[in-house]
Amino acid sequence: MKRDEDRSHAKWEEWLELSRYGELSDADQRQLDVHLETCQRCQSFRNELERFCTVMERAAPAKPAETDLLDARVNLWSKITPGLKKHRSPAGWVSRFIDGLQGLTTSVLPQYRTVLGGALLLFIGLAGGYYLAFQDGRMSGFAVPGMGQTDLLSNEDVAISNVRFVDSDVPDGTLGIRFEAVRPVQIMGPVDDPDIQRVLTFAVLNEQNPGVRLRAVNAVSASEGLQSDHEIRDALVTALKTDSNAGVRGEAFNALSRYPFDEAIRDAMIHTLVFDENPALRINAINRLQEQVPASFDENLERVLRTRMVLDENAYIRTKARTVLSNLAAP
Amino acid sequence: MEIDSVSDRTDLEDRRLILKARDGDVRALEQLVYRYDEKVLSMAVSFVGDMDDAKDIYQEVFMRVYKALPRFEFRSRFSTYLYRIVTNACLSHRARNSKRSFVPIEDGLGEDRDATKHGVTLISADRPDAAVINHEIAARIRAAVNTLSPRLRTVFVLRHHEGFKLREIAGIMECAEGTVKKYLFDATRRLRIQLEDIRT
Repeated sequence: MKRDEDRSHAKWEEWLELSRYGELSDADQRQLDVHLETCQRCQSFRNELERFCTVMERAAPAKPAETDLLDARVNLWSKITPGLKKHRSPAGWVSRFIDGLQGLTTSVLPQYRTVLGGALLLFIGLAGGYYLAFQDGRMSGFAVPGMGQTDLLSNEDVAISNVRFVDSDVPDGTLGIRFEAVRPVQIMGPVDDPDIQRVLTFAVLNEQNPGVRLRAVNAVSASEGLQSDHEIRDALVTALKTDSNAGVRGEAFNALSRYPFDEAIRDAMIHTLVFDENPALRINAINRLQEQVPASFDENLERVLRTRMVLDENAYIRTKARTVLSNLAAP
Repeated sequence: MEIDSVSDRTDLEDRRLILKARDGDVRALEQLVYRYDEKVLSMAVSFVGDMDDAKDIYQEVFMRVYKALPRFEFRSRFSTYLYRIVTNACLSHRARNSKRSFVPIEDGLGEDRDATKHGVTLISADRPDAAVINHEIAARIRAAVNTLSPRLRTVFVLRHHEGFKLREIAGIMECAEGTVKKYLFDATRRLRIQLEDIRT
C-alpha cells in the first residue's frame, strides 16, 4: 500500500521539479495544481524543493568579471592572431561595401543602417537622374530619337561598347545592332554648384581610380556649404568606412572634422577606431572621440574603449583608451 | 515560437560568420567568438569553480573551435556544438586534475563540521562574516556536486547554474530529453539529501 503511494508520488514530485524549472506543460500544470490543493505530502515536498533551489541559486558561482573576460580574450587572440595574419588580406572596396550591406540585415551594427541606407538612396538617385537624362536627351551623347546616327557616331569622343546583334538574319542584308555609346560630358562651375557636387559625390563613392576619389573628396570638402549638406556628409562617412584606400579614408576623415559632432559622425569615428586597419586613422578617431567625452559617452563607447584598451595592437591607442576611462572613473 | 525565431536568426547569423571566418575574415571570427565567449567562461567557472582553470578551458575550447571551423558541417547549431565542446573540456579538465581539485564532501565542511550537525544557514551579505560563511557553504555545495557522476553533474550544472532548457541540454549531451530528466531528478534527489541541513 505504502509502496503504491510512493510510486504515485514519485510522478508528482517529478512534475513539481519540472514545474519549478518552467518545463511542465500547461495541461500537466493544471493537474498538478489540483493535486497540490489536497496533498500535504506534495505541498511539503514543494516547500523542500523551493528551499533547495533557493540555496542553489544563492550559492551559484559568481559570473565572470569583465576583466576576467578581457584577460581571456587577450590570451586567446595572442594565440590565434599569428595563424590568421597569413590569411588576412585587405578587403576591397566592393567586398567591404557588400559586407556593409549584408550588415544591414543583422543586428550587429544597427547604428550604420541609416548611413548606408542614405548612401544607397544617393546612388539610386544618381542612377535615376542618369536614366532621365537618357530619356529626354538633355545630356546628348546617346542615341536619342530624332538624332541622326551619323551625328552620334561621327563624334570622335564617343566610346562604343557592349555591341549586340539584334537582327542579323534579314533577307535584305540590313543589320540591327544594339550598342552602348557613351560620350564624355564636361561641366564647369563653382564647387558649390549642385551639379558639380552631385558628380563629385558620385565620384567619391563609385570611381574606380583612388586618385580620382581622393581629388573628389578634397574638392567636395572645399565647399562652403559643406556643413549643411547631409548627402555629402553621408558620402564622406561611407568613404571613411568603406574605401579601400587609406589616403581617401584620411581625407574623408579630415572633411568630416569640419562637421558638427553628431550621432552619424560619432558612429563613423567608432567604426574607424574599431575596424580601420590604419593606426593613424584609429588614433585620429580616438582623439576626436576623446574631445567629445563626457558629453557623448555611453555604454557603447565604454565597451569599445575597454576592448581597444586591451586588444588594439597600437600602444598609443591602448594607453589613450585607458586614460579616457580612468579620467571618467576619477571623481 | 518567439524563442525559436530568435534562435533561428542567431543560427543564420552564426552560419554567415562561420563562412566568412573560414575565408580568413578576422572580424567575423572575432564577432563569432564574442557572441559566445562570456557564456563559455561562465560555464567553465560553474563546472570547475576556479577562474584560472576556467580561463584555461576557455582557451582550449576556442582553439579547438578555431582549428575545427573549416570542417564544421552545420549538422547541429553552432551554439550546441560549442557548448558540447565546453562540457567535454570541463569534464576532461576535472578528470586530469582530479587529485588536485577533488574535495571529499567531509573535507568541504572545514571548520563548520560541528555546525553542520545542527544545520547551517546562508546569511545576508551585509553581515561582516557573510563572505566567509557563505564561501564555505558554497564550497560545500560544490563539493557535493562534485560527488555526482559526470553525467548527473553535467545536467545539474547546465540546468541549475547556467539555466539551459532540458531540450538544449539533451542537444548538448546528444541524448533524449527523457534521459536528461531522469539524470536531473536523480542529481537533485542526491543533493537534497546531502545538503538538507543548509537553510536559506
